[in-house]
Amino acid sequence: MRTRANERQPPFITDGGRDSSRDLGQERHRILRELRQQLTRHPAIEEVQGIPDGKLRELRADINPSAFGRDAERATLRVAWWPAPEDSEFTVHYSESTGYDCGFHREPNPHVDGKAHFQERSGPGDDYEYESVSFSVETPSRLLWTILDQLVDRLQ
Amino acid sequence: METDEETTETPGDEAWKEHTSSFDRVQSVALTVAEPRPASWIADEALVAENTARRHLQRLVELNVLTADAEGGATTYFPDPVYVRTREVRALLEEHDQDSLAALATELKSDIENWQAEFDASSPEQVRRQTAEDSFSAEDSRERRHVASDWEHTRYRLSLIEDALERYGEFTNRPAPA
Repeated sequence: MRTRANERQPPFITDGGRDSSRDLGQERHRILRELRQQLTRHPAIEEVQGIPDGKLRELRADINPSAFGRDAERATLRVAWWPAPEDSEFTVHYSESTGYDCGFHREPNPHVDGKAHFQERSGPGDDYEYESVSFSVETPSRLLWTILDQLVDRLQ
Repeated sequence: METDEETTETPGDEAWKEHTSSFDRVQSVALTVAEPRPASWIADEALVAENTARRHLQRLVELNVLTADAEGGATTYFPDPVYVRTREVRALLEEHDQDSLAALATELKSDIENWQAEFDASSPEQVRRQTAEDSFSAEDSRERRHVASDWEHTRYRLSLIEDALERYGEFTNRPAPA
């Protein structure tokens, strides 16, 4: 399809196909900001902060474990989102003071078919168990509520 | 019970509706899109009727939160880049003073220099291209995808901090009461 006429392209396109209409760094800021807002609306979430401090690459929320039906002293939720030209990836991962942790992830994974999976383990010394899952929604904010709802089911 | 809202069976939808307003959901969906979307699409994702979405979207355009484009048929909506930038610059100014912003900029620049050296690349796009190479293990590809994303995120963040520092006096100025 390439012709002489369109060979003079802006440098950011010849530099590896950076799509001038889609700034993934800006998009990640937008998504993290909205996810943070949504987390503060959820009744089980106590406090949300961006980490690392100032760099704001992901979110960490303090959770009240009893609101999730758990008998633990403390629990945190880690939320990360990586917008990509093809499939965006994400992590919503729950960890509690008992050592137990689990989470929903969407990223290619050697342990299960498909991109999205649930993984859990009883403690840091154990191996994760993986299970393939699928999500019917795409929008980050809605997906977060879907995942939090499924997390409660898994934890009870 | 909601009457003008869609009923769906996706888990979490009920809780989302219970804890947010229809305006909040429309705004949140519209501010996370990867490409311009019409009101019908945003309505579906935000669990509101299309007329409700249309009304809220119009309001968000008036507030300069979104831009609307009516070219080529159905109007599509996308986050206003000036709004997005201003919101992030404001958040940085609320959380940091001038010295801390300058220190953060130094740290972010150093992160980028480290990625340039470690991945032998001059841009995050170049790191993304590397992931297509067969020679990398799944773990290496994953690391590169995440580094590319962190780099894109850091590049945008640095531009925000530059804006905040350039107009620090103006943005934080508040005349003393007479």
